[in-house]
Amino acid sequence: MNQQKDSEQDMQQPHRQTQRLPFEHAREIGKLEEIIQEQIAKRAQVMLEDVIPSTNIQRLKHGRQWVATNSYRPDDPTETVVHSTEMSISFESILNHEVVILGRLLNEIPNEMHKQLMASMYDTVRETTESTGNVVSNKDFKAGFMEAIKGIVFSVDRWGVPSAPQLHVHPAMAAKIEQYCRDPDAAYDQEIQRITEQKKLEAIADEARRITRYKFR
Amino acid sequence: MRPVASPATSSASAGAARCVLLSIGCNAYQHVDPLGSAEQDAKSIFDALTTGSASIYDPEHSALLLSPNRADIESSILGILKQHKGADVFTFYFAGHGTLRDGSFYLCPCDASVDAISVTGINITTILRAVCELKPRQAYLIFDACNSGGGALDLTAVLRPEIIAQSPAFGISVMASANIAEPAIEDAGGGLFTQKLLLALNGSLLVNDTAPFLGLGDIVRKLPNDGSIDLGQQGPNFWDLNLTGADTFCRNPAFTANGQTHSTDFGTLRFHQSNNLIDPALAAEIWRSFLDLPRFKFEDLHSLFERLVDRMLIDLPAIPSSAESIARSFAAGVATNSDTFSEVQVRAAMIRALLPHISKDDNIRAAIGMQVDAVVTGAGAALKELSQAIDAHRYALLSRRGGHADLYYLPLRVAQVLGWIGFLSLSEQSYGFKSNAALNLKELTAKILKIYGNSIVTVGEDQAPHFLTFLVASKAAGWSEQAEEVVGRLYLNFNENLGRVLSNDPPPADIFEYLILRIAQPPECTAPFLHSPSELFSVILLGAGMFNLDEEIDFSLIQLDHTHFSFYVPDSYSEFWQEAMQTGRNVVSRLGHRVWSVNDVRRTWRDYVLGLVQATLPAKDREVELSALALSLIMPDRLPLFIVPDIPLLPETEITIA
Repeated sequence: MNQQKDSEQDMQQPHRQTQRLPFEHAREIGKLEEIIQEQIAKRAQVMLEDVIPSTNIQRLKHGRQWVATNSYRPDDPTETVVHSTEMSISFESILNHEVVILGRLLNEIPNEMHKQLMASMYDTVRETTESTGNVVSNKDFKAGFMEAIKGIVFSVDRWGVPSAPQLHVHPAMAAKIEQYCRDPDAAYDQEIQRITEQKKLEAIADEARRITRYKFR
Repeated sequence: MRPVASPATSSASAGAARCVLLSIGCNAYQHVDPLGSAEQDAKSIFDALTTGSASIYDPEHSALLLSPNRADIESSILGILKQHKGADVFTFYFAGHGTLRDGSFYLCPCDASVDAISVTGINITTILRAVCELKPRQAYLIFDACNSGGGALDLTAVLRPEIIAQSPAFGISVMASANIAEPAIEDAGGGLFTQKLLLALNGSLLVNDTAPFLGLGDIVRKLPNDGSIDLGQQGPNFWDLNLTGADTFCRNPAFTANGQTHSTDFGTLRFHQSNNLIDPALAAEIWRSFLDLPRFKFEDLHSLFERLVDRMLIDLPAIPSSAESIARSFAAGVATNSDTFSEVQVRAAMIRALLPHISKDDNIRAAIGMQVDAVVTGAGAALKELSQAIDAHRYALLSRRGGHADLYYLPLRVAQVLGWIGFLSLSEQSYGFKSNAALNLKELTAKILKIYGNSIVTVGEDQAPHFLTFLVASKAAGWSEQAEEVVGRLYLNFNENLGRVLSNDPPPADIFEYLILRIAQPPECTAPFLHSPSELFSVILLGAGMFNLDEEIDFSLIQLDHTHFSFYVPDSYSEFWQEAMQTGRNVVSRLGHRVWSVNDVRRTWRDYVLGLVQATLPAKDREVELSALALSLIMPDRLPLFIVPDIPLLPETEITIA
């Protein structure tokens, strides 16, 4: 997932790779490095689950392409994207026992991975919406949001409970939303609420239709 | 081909000869370039070992093959197998072409064809399997051929514990004239490597004059730097395990021993008695451990040596040579490990196995003495290598995997290096060891402090005996400036980190949590991995007392109010081999409770600890002290307090306030 790279000093000293060392503690160091890697992975996982429910995370061991037969483009495979990051630490930092570099590693690597994942996710969403025409170009916030909520099909979870969509917005848009929340329009909110409830009922109905495709006794 | 004698056809003697030699030299190659002196080499070796001053091999039952083909060699091996099963010693010498193919080493008989070496060469495994079947008590294989170090690739495939266990006292030594990728050079005088070997066999090269017989290992250690023939880039390889308790490759031409003649009758050697002590299961375990030496653990090795020493006890006079033989074999096995202190650990494991029995017999004391000598030599060599490595590159003490794990392991490693510097310094000053001219301990200390000074921090109790040994040695050697710097750095760091240090031998998960704790520095913390009372703090305070650092320490001690520190004194330092000692006393003190200053620490030391230490060691006991000192550096949950010098109380008026 991540690659740590020592600074250029390492490349200047290839002979270190064959050097013998007193009190190597090789086995223990290997285990400690594993623990550090696990901690990084754990933190990255927590950040990932903040935006993607764990039930929607799938793990594929082989291959670089995937298609979802239930998608709207089942014949159009998607390439998996590799996210990687690296962080330089200098030998001097180790010599000087700058223990904070460990904290930096534990924060920066998961943060960077998360940033890349989010960027990749937005790219995918953008490509999909552009290709399907599901784009709202209305510049007025209220009208644009109304148009969007009308165009979205709600889904249900595995227990059939409808769930509202997540909203990921640009900071400028977030500011507009905050501004609106400070001075809400009751009639507008009521209309949004009505559409949302309507969408939920449609989602339940869709789910019921989907379920009836199974054979029951 | 000129076979001089063939055991396959000889009828001179019924039954097995005690020592059998098969010496082969190939000059007249049919399909590859001929050689000029391989035959002469084989003949010289044959003469030296059968009739010369190093001879122990029966010429009637030994064989010299000159430019044989493959069938000749196989026939000779077959003859030896048929006639000499269970021989005491079997030696196989080969001079000629050798080649490595697909990870396997082949000797080239004169009809060998390089493009069909698998069916025209003699694979090293053939020789090894024959040795396993022959079951000599000791086998020596010597190859003077290009790439012959490649023979090691086949060793572990053939010498499996379950095979070797059938011959419990089996020992094997393999010597190759060149590394795996190196040619073996010959000149008009013969193969360079064989010429050197012959110098040892005819007595021109002194290996030692104390043992009646020489092992191949004794000789190989003298070969590279004896100043006679320059091997250039050609590096001999050696691989050895000897369970027989005595190494008997040849007679020692330099041994005189009060005019006694030495017998070639191996019935007089003690190893025959010792052999029966090693049962097949134990032999298998020894081999398993030996083959796994790159990954050995000190605890496992000690457990193995402990059982071996138990069996050696029934033949006390043989213990020094038996213990040395085993330890030397294992030390040679780890000589190329990436950890330069592996050999020291092997020797320490043997000391630990012997120490419980020290009061039983002077032979055990002598055996311990030999191991202590080897520890001193090994530690000196390892520190010299480190000193050179640091000169070559500043970061030589960082682990190869580098990275964040060194935030704990580098401070520990620095402490360990300083501890062993202290050990060597004390061995010279207090125990009469000759100083190592090639290693300047004070200079190495200065280098460590200059480059790694910021890694002299308090991370764990495992640092305690190392810093204690270093500080005491510094006091004896007059290295006050260096010692004061170390005490100062340790004290400041201990104080800055609120006296929090890891317990002994922490698991990596605890080390991780501890490093995170050092970043966060919460004011309150009761993590189970933190150690209290701290012996590391005791060492820092004792150091402050030894070097009169009262002024530097006293006025900030309040920041460590209520911190515990302790001293453990066993009933006897000969118990230092134990994992957990059951006797003895822990003297625990607490800052702010009868102890408010460095002088109070001195008082505590004199009133409560010094008497216990003196009662434990009423008279100087060199072997016990050096053993306990070495073991405390390998098993760092114990302090060798007996080395601490007198720390006189300072009159209160002499403690000035700046």
